[in-house]
Amino acid sequence: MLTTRQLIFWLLPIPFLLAFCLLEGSSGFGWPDTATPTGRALLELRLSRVATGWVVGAALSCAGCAMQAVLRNPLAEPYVLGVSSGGCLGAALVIAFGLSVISPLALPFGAFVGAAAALLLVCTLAGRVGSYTPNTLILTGVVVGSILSSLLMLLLSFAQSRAVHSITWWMLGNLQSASWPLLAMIAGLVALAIGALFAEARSLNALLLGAEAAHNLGVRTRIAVPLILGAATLAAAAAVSVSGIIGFVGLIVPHALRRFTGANHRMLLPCAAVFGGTFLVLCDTLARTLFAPHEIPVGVVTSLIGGPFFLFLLTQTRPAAPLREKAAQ
Amino acid sequence: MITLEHVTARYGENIVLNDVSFTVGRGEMLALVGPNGAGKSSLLRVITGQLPAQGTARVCGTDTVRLCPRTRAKTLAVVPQEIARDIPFAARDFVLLGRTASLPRFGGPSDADDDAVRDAMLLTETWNLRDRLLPEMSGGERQRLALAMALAGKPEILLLDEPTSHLDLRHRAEIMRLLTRLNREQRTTILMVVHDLTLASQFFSRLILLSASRVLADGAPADVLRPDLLETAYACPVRVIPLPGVSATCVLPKL
Amino acid sequence: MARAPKRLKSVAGENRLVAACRILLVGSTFALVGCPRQAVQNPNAQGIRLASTAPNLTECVYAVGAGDTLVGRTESCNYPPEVGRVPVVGGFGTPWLEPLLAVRPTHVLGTVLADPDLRRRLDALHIPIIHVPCTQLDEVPAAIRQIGDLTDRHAEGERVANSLQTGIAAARAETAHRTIRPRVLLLLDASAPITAGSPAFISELLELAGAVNVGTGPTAYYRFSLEWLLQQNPDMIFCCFETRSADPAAPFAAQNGWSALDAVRRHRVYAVADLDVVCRPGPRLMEGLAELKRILSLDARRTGGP
Repeated sequence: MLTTRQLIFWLLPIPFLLAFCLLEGSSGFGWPDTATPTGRALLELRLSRVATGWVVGAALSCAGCAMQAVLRNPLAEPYVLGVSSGGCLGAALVIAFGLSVISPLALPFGAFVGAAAALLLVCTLAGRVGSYTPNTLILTGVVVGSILSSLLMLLLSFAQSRAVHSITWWMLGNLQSASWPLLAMIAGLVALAIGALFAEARSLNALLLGAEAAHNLGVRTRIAVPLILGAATLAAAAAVSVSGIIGFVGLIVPHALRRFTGANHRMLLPCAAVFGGTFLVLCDTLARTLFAPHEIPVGVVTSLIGGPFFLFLLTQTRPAAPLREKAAQ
Repeated sequence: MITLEHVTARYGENIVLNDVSFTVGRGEMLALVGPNGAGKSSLLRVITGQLPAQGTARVCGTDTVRLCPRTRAKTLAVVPQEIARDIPFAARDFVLLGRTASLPRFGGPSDADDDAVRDAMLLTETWNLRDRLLPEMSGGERQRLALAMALAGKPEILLLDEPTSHLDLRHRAEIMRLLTRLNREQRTTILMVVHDLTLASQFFSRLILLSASRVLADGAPADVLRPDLLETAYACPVRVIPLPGVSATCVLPKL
Repeated sequence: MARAPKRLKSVAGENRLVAACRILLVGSTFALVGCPRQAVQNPNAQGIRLASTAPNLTECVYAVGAGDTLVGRTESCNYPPEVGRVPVVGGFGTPWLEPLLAVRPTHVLGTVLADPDLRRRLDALHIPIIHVPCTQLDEVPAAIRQIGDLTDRHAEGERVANSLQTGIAAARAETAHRTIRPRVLLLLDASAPITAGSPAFISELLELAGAVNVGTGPTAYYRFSLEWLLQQNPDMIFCCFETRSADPAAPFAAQNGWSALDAVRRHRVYAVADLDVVCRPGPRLMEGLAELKRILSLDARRTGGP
């Protein structure tokens, strides 16, 4: 575990990294010539990609932390309650019926509505079964997710090839957000969600010991658990609506960070927001420069990098005497 | 402090507590004994308000289910049987969890919180472990930390569910000595679920024997640890041997 | 003892049921297996029966006057209107085996067949697949001639093919001397940045109409990055999808990157009215060319230049 001072040391290079990412683009390396309108537009494009990547990365990482704590499952990730299938189905419906001509906001809106509808469905079904325990929620999420995926496949089988191509590309993840107002809306939603999660950081810590122990420690589990799951899913749905399905970030960023910050969510959540966002921006920079001018989907890069990196972390033996921690004062 | 009157609790169709009544006064120290499945853990859940029940269940005069969670957590602390070993908490942060009810939502721990944590860890002899991570500790160290976490909240009532199961002889003795001291010096009310009847007779002046969701006996060890009662409860022949010099009773199964 | 007769009766009943099932099974097997053989048995007695696997080939068949020989079409075949009578036997490039066999075709016309396994199955059933190359501009007249010969409409096929060739040559001559050609982005999809590369038919048509396609990728259909588009900065954008707004430039003006393009800022974004004629390499290619020219001249009038 790191001391606070060491964490700040790791935080310092981040703004430089993000600025560096602005230099990279599928049209070449270098600061665009801001004298020409093309150059300004290029810079704006790259800025929007970096900003979107940061917001989406932060949203997915924080949502992943919360899901893993509440569901007490190391494999839990932001999409576990059907968000990915719902978002895909919503986006696919918009694309297949050509609704994106109505407005550039139609596609994100459709994806968001789909994701939110999936969560509502999961909660309703869990309520019918009679319990909101982690196991019930996860199983219901799996069931709803597979039903929605089947509907998606049904839609794909009837859709024209062009629509199928578009839907598949959307699902692979893309950080080019349509417009600044849209990004502002999404950023607002994500900030709200992460704020709610941070406010419940102490409850999250207690919930790591189980719902019963948390109850004994004074946490109102009946309110805290749905609130936390709702906030995490809101963050995930907002991320999905603007960027498609980007996997691995919400799963491994929390695990990777816990080795350095410990399980205390008062440290883990802010670090997840900052480092998770940076991680995704770096992956996206790679995605658009590795095979320039072709851009590969960012979800591919996160999986290809995230997997081996996580394996590397697992093989690291724990140091015999961990670094001395200063008391959080 | 704890009052149960004609409490009946059930999980679905299963009745786990059947017309249980007893009162625990301030500063009492009593052990809850009985066979597996008798309803001991369910009884603890009724007291903590997790299991709603028919009848009256009150803690400090208020119904257990109506008690505000923060107030309840400050009055009553539970030491669980098992602490999951894979949560990467530093020991000090883990014990700080015991202060959850008094910690502010956004701010850091106050001096009072830090002092309470230090006192609790010194009492349980875990202060030297404060920077180590939970997964690196032995079962005994984790159990002492669980007790420290409960004590950090400075509760008036301590509920313990088999806290000595993983401890060796020395640590078991130390925990029981600590609990006895707490009870004597700070008048902490202690209610502990125990499997070891000999241990129960040695440290507790009052025992409640639960069997098949009913209270079979409630009183001093000499009155509760009777062969006929024990054989009814455990469905197994027992030998009860009083140990005169040490005010304890040895209970052995008859083979 | 009273039970024994009942049992015998039920056993007899069961036997009858089993026998009936067996007959049904065998009978239906024969019926199913028997069907395809009919297609091969007497091709000449029923005449040519064509099944088309592409909309442009369907149009070619009607253009040579052989519409009555068409017995199967794809779900995207929509011209001429009388094609609606013909049963659907598959999607573009992917015929569905059972409906195809049910219409008993003598030949299957294909230009792009997606599934190689299908080819093997049709070969096994002795149904010939006629490969009609018809994906590029210069292949269309030859394709029409080929279909004309196949359906015994040689004269009609020659006539249509010659008129197309004349039209193409005239269009080439007209624009040959032009030095200034407008640069156009062909946007193929409303929700994704997809354009047509140089081998695409629509790209060839555009060049014939006197413009330049900024999309120079090697495949007919590919995804571009916005940074590339900004560097290209085309003069015009042609939307090859259904737009529902009066001003096709409006949705782009609100989006990052697109809003900085000259074409968007000067509202030189146009919707292509009839998508079929510009995307299908077929007998109506002159109409497609006319449509593109219409848009180009509309733009020239609005902006006062090429």
